[in-house]
Amino acid sequence: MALREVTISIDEKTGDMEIHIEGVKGPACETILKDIERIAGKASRVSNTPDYYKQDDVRVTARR
Amino acid sequence: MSKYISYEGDVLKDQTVLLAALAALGWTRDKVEVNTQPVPLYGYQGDRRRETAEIVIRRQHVGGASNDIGFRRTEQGFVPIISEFDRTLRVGVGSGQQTIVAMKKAYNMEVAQRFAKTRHTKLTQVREGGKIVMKVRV
Repeated sequence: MALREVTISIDEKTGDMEIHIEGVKGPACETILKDIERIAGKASRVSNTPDYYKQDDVRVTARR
Repeated sequence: MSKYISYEGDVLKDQTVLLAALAALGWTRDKVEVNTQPVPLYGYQGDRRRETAEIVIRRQHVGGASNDIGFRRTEQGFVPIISEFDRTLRVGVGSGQQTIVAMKKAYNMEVAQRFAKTRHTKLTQVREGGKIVMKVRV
């Protein structure tokens, strides 16, 4: 089973946050993003990598 | 007189997260005013400025010869209002950093910790490539 993991990176120079969601199928991925946005506010940019559209192994990158 | 800058592009959405982030930087709750209506900010000479904000760190908590720091409430969240003079943190945790960067980092760290709590899991944290990288199993 693929590792389901959220990676949160904070740029030490700008303070900006980037979020990668990996190993989660599409709708569940959206749920995780919404959970984070509920705490942090709306992401300024969301992009779905090609893996997002596969049956398994979904990856979403969001930046705020 | 130091001009105030409103960081419209760096809105900090949640009040409780913001207050926790300010506390992490050394501005504990007793040093932060939270008002339901906007109040004036004051300069280092006690001069009333035209800028107003709901959340205020008064200048005596910011540093010597500093001005008030404010966070103005908008529909999207709180807009930081920081004077040019106080653009760099002079005291406390993170001193020497750009004030807005230190605030954003503290805010986003708090977001990460709160998200990890929602998943009942620990946050692992490393520094790599100029970034603080945290992982949460979901």
